[in-house]
Amino acid sequence: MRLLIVEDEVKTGAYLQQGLNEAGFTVDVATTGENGLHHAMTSVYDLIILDIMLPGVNGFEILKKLRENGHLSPVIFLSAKDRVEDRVKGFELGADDYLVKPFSFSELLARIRALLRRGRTIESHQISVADLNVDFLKRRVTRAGNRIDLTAKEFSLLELLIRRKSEVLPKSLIASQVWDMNFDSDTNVVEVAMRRLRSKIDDPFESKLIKTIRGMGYSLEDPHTS
Amino acid sequence: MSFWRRSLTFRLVCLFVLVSTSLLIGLGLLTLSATKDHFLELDEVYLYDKGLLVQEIAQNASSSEEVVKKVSLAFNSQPDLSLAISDQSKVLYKSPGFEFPAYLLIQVEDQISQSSHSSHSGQSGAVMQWLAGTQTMRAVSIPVDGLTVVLAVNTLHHDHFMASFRALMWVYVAVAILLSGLLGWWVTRRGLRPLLPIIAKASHINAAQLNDRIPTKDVPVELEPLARTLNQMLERLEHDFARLSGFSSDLAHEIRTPLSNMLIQSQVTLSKNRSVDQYQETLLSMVEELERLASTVSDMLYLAKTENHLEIPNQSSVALEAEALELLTFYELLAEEKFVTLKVTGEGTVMGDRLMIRRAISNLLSNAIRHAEAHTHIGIEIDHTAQVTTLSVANVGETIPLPIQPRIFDRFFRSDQARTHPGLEGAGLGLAITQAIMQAHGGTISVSSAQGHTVFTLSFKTTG
Repeated sequence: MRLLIVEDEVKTGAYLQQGLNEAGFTVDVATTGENGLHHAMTSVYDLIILDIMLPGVNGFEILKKLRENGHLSPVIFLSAKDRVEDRVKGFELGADDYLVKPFSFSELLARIRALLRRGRTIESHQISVADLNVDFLKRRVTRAGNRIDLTAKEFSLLELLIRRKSEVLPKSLIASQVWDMNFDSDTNVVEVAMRRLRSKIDDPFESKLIKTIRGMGYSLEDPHTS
Repeated sequence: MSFWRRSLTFRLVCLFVLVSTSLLIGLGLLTLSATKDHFLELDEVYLYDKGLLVQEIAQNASSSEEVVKKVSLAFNSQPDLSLAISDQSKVLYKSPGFEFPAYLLIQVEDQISQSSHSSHSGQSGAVMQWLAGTQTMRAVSIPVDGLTVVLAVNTLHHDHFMASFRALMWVYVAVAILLSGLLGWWVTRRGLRPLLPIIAKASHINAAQLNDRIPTKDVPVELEPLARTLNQMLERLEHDFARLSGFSSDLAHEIRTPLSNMLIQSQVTLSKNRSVDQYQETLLSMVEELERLASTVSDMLYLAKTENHLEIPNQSSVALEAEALELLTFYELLAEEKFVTLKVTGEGTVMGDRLMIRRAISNLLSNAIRHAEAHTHIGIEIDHTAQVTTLSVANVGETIPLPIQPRIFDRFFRSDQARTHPGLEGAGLGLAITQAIMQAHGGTISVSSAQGHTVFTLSFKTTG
């Protein structure tokens, strides 16, 4: 997967590049609008991350030119501007996501992965990780053949984790996806919910599937494959 | 046009001049016409007076010839008076050098035929008037024993008087208008003079001396409301400004503390070689600190936008019980941990922004759970009357002392002034945000706390 980052703040660009490289992406960085536009028009990227405030050509203009020329790669805007009009403008121009600085790296990563997966995977009815099996149609969870009863929210939480297995999901993303809490809310709730889910999924078993990545979030993965 | 808008003096002077011009011209025209009427009356009286004389002479005469002779003799010495005497068929006598217009003579003849039938109606005709060359003539006809005597007088001396009177009048009017303009200017300047101290005071007020006030004692009564309104404005500005200043210093403090923590921690960590675990620990603690900072900044931005009405609430119908129940699914986990039970009762629908209202309720719930004693109950009660729809969150816990109750809605307010556990309490913006959201919806937030029971109430206007 090849990504382009257009960001005039050199440090931000470098850290993002490092982080995304380590997450398995190939990343090009452009530090000016002109450069970024040139890269985006001449090479093929799976996803483009655009800062809005750029010297020369700004992020909105880059996106506009790209869409006019038929480049349809998904675009995520990064911006310190938090005005509703900016968001609206971004989405109107055809952006796929909009993140306001400061954002957490795990949040960006989770959104990049969501965008890249979009439209490519068929939502399966049933997913297994190690000996854990989740059937979404029957809403049934089994681990090592044992039926596990979950509450509705616990099931939603597990569904989120397993559909995005091996990804680190930040607490804020979990709160917004499972409880529709789209603002900075008490993320202690997510910790409690995660503890409960673990008590049912992991505690009775030898191998633990749900991992806490401190300072980042949670992920569900098969401990033997990673 | 712009000058008209800008200068009050100019405007008032114009109005003065307009008013005095119309008054003076009206007065002038009235005087002229009255004078004219008066002269006409004088002439009429004069002519009829002479007419009586003619009649008197005629009564003492025996024949028409004698009448003509005596009358012409009597009036020869009166230069401003002309005379014509005629019987039914012809003119018997005419003042020399004076021509009566033909139409008058015909009229005279008509009148003669009329008056021959009627008795001595001395006042039979009105005063007749015509122009002979440059002179205006006035005449009356008097029937005397079958004769008609026409007496005419020229109005030359009146005309002279009228001409000079008219000229004098218009000069006076012009001067008076000019004077009234000047007077208007002076009066306006004088009348506006009480504004000067207000202007002087207002021009000296700046951010550093917002506590200064415009004097209201010595200003005229009409200006007192203005001065008072300005003072009220200053009061509001002063209040907002003080809040803003306090806010800036709070903000600086709020950000400075974690920044200095992180700086010290990084430098201490770097001061010697450490194990990977220790580095990780440092980074993790920094992440926590930074996340808190980020959330403080975004809360502050949200607060600023809400307070300044940049975040305009979408108006849609929001069912409070539905929102509260949904939030309960989120918070009940936290509540169960503390052995606290949550319950929603009642219902009510308000107009507003769903997400903002949700955030307001969420803040109250989060606070209530944080401050609730274990094994107690938190009640969310929704109620509505014709005027207000309320949502209140009640918890059992430490009482909020009365003196600090109004202050808990201030930004960065924490009951614990030492701020020893910022992580536990959040940035101290929750209630300020809730209040700002309520204000943006035209509602209010209030608190009551006594004997371990604390109730926060959101009040919305009932709609529909």
